[in-house]
Amino acid sequence: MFPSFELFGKTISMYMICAIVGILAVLLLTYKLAIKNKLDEFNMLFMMLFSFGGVVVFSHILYAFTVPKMVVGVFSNLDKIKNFDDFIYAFNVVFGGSVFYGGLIGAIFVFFLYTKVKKLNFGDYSDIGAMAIPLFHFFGRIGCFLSGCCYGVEWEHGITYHNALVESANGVPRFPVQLVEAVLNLLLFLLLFYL
Amino acid sequence: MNSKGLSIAALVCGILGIVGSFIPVVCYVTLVLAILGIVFGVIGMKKAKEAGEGKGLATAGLVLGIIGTAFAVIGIICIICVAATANSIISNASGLSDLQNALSSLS
Repeated sequence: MFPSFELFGKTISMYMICAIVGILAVLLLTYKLAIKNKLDEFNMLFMMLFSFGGVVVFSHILYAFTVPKMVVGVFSNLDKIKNFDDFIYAFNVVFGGSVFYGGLIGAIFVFFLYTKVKKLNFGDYSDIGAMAIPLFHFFGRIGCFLSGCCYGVEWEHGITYHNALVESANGVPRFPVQLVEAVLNLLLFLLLFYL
Repeated sequence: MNSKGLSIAALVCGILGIVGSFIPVVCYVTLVLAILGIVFGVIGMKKAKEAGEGKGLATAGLVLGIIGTAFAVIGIICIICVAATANSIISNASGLSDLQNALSSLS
């Protein structure tokens, strides 16, 4: 497919582009719906932005729970960390990966925390915020399809990647599960929107 | 600071955030600017609404700040693939002894 392109020496991935479009779509939707439902649209914006931050932070934190041996190994060898490069290496070992559920839990937790701190009604704002998840996921899955990651099983009528970012996807016709998931996410978003 | 000042600050921070993301080392500083662009953008929009002024500049700063932050933070492939790849590497390696050897060789 079309996983990335070079721009002034920086690799810009299609997943990143789709994620940016998804974030902007989510912010526009939640902003407009907050105004329509007579809620504070600026608090809604801040809530969504903080939630995106929660996604990044908590997805990495939960990753550490999936590699307990590595965590123990790093903390048992703290005396071997002598400089900044060593620290970055050890940090990446513990927190370098991400877990989807960590991001989801983080987003919901931060969203809830914001409503409590600002004394807002969690139910009113979460009715709008809940639509954001499948909408963002729709764009994310399009990005996955273009990048060649999160690919499906071998399927004779499928799509064959030649330049996928995940090497194991290349050369084999694969079921476009990313597109199926994107469509289902879109349908879920539309269902929530019209309910 | 009034809405116009905040809006301009948001726009400048957002632009610097995007431009800086292309420059090694500088990108860490401009990431902070991009995040500030987002914050100034939202506050600028709020103050512009209260003052009955246009929100265009502040909105532009917000959007550019988001793009600049995303350029710095979002990786090449999605987090599910990263987790799957990382987990397979870890489960296939001998794990702790590899880590100990690796950390020993760093110093």
